[in-house]
Amino acid sequence: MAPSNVDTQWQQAQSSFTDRQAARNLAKESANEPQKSAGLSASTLISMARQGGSPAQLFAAFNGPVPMNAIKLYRALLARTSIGTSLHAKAASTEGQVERELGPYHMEVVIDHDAAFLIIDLNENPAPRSCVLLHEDGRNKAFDFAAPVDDVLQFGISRNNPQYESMLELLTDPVTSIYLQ
Amino acid sequence: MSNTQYFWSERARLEFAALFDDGSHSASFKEAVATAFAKGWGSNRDKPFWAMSMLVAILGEQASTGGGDEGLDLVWTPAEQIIAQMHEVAQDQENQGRDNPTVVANADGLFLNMPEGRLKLSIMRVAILGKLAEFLLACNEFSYSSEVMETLAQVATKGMSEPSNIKDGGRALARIAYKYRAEHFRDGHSASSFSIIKTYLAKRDNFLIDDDALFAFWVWPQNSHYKTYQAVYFAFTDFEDALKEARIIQASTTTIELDDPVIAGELAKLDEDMYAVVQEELPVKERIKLINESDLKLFKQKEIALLERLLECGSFGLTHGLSSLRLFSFHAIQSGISNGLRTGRSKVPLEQRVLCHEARNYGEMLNEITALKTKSQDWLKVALALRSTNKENEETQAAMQQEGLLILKRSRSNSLSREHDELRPLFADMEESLIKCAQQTGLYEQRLQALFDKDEDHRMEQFEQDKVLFAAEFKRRYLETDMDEI
Repeated sequence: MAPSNVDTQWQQAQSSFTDRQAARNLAKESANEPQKSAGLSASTLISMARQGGSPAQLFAAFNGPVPMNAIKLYRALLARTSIGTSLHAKAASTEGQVERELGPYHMEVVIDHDAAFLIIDLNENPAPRSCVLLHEDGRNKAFDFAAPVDDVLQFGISRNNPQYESMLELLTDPVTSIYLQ
Repeated sequence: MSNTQYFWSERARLEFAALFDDGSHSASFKEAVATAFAKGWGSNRDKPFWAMSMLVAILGEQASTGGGDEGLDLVWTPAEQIIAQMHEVAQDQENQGRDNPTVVANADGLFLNMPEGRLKLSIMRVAILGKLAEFLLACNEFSYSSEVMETLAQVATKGMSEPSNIKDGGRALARIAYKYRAEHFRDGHSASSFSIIKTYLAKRDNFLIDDDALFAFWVWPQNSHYKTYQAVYFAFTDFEDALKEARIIQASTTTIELDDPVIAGELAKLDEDMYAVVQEELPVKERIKLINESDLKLFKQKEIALLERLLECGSFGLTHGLSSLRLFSFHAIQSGISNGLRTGRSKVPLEQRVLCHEARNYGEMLNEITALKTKSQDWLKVALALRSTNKENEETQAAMQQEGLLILKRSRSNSLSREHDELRPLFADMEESLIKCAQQTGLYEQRLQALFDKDEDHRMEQFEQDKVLFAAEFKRRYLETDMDEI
């Protein structure tokens, strides 16, 4: 039997009531929640990225594992405060050498057996003061540059230090995002 | 409150709360965001997502960021700046003499021309869309964020060139909101609330909702869904509105009568604007936020709270005056009791509190509303006095101007001690909101006065009687019932 007009009206009323209660109670019930960590919100990511916050700060602020997707979002947001960004390498790097274009900047990593060099050609653009590396899996590093010499920035990485070794690993991985700030 | 009492899952409650941990947001703003997410605008659940899609497409055409992901402009760029950008777009399109402009600015405001009609844009509305986008990005522990980012990026890249772009984008975003709601909102809980209210009211003529019905439902033993009087009040509001929307009962019309001719005139103009020209007006709640965040401190926090309350209760509150007075006076007691029980801390012992000695009586409530009305009207007079251009009725105008400026002179608020030229635009920004406040407080004053034929003794009698009723119910709920059931 087809539903009568009255049935349809009541169905409509019920769904309208449900929408209204859903809207009303979402704000009310949330306001009731005692302040416990709600996990990571997009607004936290946005305000941290806006301040150019390093990923390390982000992960420190958040107890527990950061979802992969949140890292992806953070990578996109961080690009907005950077003067040069490369989200991933365009092509596989050639043997012992990594090259990337970060906006107007050209970056190379030259690897020797006991040291590596990060070289950034400024192409007559303002010199970035620092660099942030953020891998898809959340591994990250941030470091400052010294003043450029002849339109070129150089950053030396000693291969005997495990800390630098992990930095080199990140720099040479094609899925690491690199941000110049 | 036990978990089964909630409509929304714990995850949803936490994630929604987290949406606002980037600063202080008013309760009404949060509610406006919740409404956009769960109910949509008008009676269209998709509309906010269409608007989001269209806004992102226009922003994408502007391509301001370069290199980054333009789809995220909506969450990255402050709402004020987006509005300024939209004004530029409107201007450009007008200069080009475009046949179908996507953004239009005229004396009524700034509008998006959507395939389904015009949508008024405001800072608040853009801020709501921004929060909505943030929620989609982060909800379910970021499980949709890749999809949302891709959708927004695609919408931004294609811009307005492909007609289906906006539609596809809006649909994809709305679908995520549906999925989330289906997963985290207990439809069954809501359906059974609906049928229990329906069953209860079916005994009454034409589902008549009056003050007695509302109170009696709250104390009805079979009402296991709504613990607080306030929850019943708003459930009945939603029930009545739903019945009106489905045309099961007739929508009543509220007439506006205000004694002050100047204000009445402004109101008439505003109403004309609201209903004739601008179909998608700003929700009333957005106006309060405007007042709250203005540089001018015209109202105290307590007054803002009462304004929010009156606007929240809306026209249901006006047609159910006694229920509203009961809510204003006794909800504070019940909320105090449940806070005390939850935190284990309370200045007043439970046995004392249930007696409702702390409840504000109806006379006090009315006085507060009257004072607020006078204040709103006064500020409105100041706003009108500062607006010096209108010369249509010079005599009234001059008298009013004098009065308005006198009110300004007498005020001692620091935020008002500046030059008229500086005050003028600030007041102009708030004019519509002040009119709305004067209107709402005036209507409430009128209805609540009329309840008791302005008879103070009658009013007091009703309060004392209600105090006994509420005390008895609180006692039954909190002192005589096993605590586990609360």
